[in-house]
Amino acid sequence: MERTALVTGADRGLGSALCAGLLARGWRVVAGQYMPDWPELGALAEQHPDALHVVPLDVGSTASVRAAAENVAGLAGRVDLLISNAGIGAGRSELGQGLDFPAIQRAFNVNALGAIRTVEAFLPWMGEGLRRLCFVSSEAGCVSLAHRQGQFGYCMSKTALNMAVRIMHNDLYPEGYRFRLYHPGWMRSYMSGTKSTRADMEPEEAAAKALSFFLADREDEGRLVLIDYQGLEWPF
Amino acid sequence: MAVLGEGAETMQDPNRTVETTGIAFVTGADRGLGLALTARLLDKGWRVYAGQYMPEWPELGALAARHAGQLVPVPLDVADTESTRAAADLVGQHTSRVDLVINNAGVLSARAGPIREAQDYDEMHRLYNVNALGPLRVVEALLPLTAQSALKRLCFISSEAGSINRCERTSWYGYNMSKAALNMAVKLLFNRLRPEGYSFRVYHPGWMRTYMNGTKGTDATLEPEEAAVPALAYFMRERAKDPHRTDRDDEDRLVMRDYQGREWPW
Repeated sequence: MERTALVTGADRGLGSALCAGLLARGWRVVAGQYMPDWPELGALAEQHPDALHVVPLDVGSTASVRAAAENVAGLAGRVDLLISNAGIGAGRSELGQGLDFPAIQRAFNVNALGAIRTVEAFLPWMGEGLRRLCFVSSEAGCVSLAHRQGQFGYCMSKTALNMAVRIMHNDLYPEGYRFRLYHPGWMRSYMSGTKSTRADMEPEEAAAKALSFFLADREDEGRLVLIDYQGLEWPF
Repeated sequence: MAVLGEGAETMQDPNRTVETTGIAFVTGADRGLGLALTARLLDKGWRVYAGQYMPEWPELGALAARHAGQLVPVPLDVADTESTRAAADLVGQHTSRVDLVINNAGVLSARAGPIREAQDYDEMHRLYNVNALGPLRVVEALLPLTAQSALKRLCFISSEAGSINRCERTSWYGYNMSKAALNMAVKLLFNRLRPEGYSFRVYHPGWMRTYMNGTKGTDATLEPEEAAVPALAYFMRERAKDPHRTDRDDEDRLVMRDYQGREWPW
C-alpha cells in the first residue's frame, strides 16, 4: 500500500534530501515549501510528478500551516509519516553585547512552535495510517550536556521542542502514535542562510541515516529518547 | 539518575549559609513569592531593589514605606528589554554592586489544552518571553553590577514543569516549554559565567497560592510566605566542593532542586 509522508522545510538541505530518499523508497511525499524561488524542490517534482506534492508552508505562521493541512485533504487524504524538519538558527549575539531577543523569539517560533503547529494541523489526517511523528531536534537542546556559552536562541528553542514532543508523546503514545526525536549531526546545510562548508556530512548522507531511524521499529517505543545519527542516545 | 528523596542530603548543613547582608535584586516583587522573598531579605538586613510590574498593587509600596531606604521599588517589565535596561540603570544610580539576583517574575496561562484542542501560539510566545527570556534580560542588564560583587549569586525560580525527564503532562505546552528553555538558558549562563566566579541556584518552589494566572490560586499547597523560607535558605546556602563526593552539590555542577531539597533531572 502506498504510504504518504509530510516533510516540512523541504526546500533544501536535510528536508530536500529526506524527500528524495522517501521518493526513492516509493513513498508519496507532501513537501512543505517555504522558498518558492529555490530550485531543488521543483527539480525533484519534475522527476516525480505523481509522487511529490509541493505545498506552500511556513511553519512560523499558524494560518499557513492550517492552509497546508487543508491542501492535504485533496492531495493524499492522509499522512502516515510526519517529519518536522524546518528549522532556523538564531544568530550569534553574545551575552553582555546585547542579546538579539527578536532573533531568539523567531527561533522559538519556527523550531518549537512550528513543530506544534504542524502536529496540531495534520493530526486529523494521521489517524488511519502509520501514526509516526518524527522531529529533527538537536543535541544543542540537551541541558545536561550543554557545553556552549551562548547560542541562547537556538539551544533554548530545541530544549523547548524536546519538551513539546515529550508532552505529545505522553498524550498520543497510548493512541498508537510513535515518536522519533532526532539529532541529525552537523550537515553542510543552510541553517544560517548560506550553505555551511565546514560541517561533517552532506545532507544526502544525513538523510539516509535519518530515514533509517524514522522508518525502523524500536523495541522501547514507550520511552521517548533523543537519538543521534550514530544511534547514540542523548540525555535531556 | 537521582531519585526523588535522595537529594535531601544537601539539607544536612542548614546553618552554613551566607551570613553577611548584602544587596539584592528581586523581580516580580509585587506580590506572591517575590514579595515574600523581598520581605524576608529585608528582615535579614539586606538592601533590596524590587522589580515592580504593577505600581497600582499596594503591597510592595506598603513594604517600602516600612523599610524606607532599605527597599527601593524599581519599575520593571522583564518582557521588555528597554524596561529591563532602564531598571538596571536606575539601580546603578543607587549602588555600585548587586550581590544576589532572584529571577522570580513568571506567568502561567489560565487554561492550556492538549494537542487536539486549538493551541494559543500568542500565549506560548508570552510565556516564553516572560519566563525564559525575562531572566536572560535581567542577568544581562545587571552584569556590570553583579560583576562588582564578591558573592555573584544568580537565582532562578524555575519549576518541575521544566523537567523533560519527569514530564507526565499531556497539555501545558507553553508553560512547560518556557521553564525547560529557562533551564537551558541558565545552563548556558552557568557555562559562561561560572569561570568568572558567579554561582547559580535553580529552584522549584512548590505549588503556591499565588497570582500566576492573574487571580490568586486557592487550591495550592503553600502560602508564598511559607515557600519563601526554604527558597531563601537554598539561595543563601554555601556549597562545599568535595572531589570525593560526586553526589554532593558543589558550585561547579548546576542542579535544579525543589523546596524539599530533592533534585529534579533536566
